[in-house]
Amino acid sequence: MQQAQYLAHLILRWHQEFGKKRIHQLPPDIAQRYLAKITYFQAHQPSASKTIREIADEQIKGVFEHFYNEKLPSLLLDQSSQNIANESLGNIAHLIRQWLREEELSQKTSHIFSLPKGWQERIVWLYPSSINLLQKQGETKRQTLSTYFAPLADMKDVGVGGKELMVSMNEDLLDGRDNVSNEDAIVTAYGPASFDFQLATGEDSLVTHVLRGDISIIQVILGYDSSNIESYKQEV
Amino acid sequence: MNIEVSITLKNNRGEVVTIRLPAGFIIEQAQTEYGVQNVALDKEYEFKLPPHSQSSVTVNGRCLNRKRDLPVATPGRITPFRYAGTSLDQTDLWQAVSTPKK
Repeated sequence: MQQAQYLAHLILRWHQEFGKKRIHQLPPDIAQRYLAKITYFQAHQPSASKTIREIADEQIKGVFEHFYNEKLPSLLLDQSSQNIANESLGNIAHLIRQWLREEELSQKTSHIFSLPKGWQERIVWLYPSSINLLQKQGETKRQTLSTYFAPLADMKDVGVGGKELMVSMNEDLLDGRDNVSNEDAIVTAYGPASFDFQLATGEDSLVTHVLRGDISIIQVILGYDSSNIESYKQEV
Repeated sequence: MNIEVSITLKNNRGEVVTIRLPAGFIIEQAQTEYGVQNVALDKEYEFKLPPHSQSSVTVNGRCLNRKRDLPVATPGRITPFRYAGTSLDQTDLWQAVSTPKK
């Protein structure tokens, strides 16, 4: 982030010190916008990622783009930044965008799903939620979702799941869920309450009995065909 | 669309245990990568399990995943969740889960 901030500062400084002197090269209406943009950024020093991104965007596709191929003079660069001395302002802006994106992705992927603390013992209401996850290069969306919802598989040994449910509910909303990503991408994951799912715990609830150890799950079969046996919905 | 689910349980206690499966209680496929449905129960079920006994109960549910195949004797797993939407009508349920709340 510091490097991105430093480079955004240098881009802005170039326009303040060198770009302004060449304003006569621009059509009058663009020159006016150019000066207004410099004034705007002077009032918003590039300390926040939002401003850093705005400066980079302006350099890539805004009014600063008129000086896309200009290079930073060596005198503006400190020793650690001499490697970008031959890069254009546009390329430096792309570099800033890349750093910002990596920073955002690393923040987003530090999350992992969890239910509210104490949900097993007390009444807890779940609220709709969503999060953007990093789908790493070479990963499928399913793998990304599985990693995020992995904690719901922690109760698998006692026969209580949730991970497969949440992965499949989210997967159904996505296109190309089995496709391997060729580059880092974003996958949005919705929490249980976004699908109107609430906790099924409580007095006499099967889940609560199982989590307490009173009841063990021996087998669960879906698509069971009871027509072959005595028809009875509660065989107990 | 109706899906039957068989659940076999064992009472580990030395007394009768009352067990409740709330309406909308969700049972997942053990492995959803094969494109098979999860299930939400159509109503509340309640039953008693005698001390130290093992028994099965068969319950009915709705499909949760419109695009997925019906399960045919596939292993499942209970979840800590229940579907708490306004209706357990199949069409309403599919509509609700296909437009997640933000």
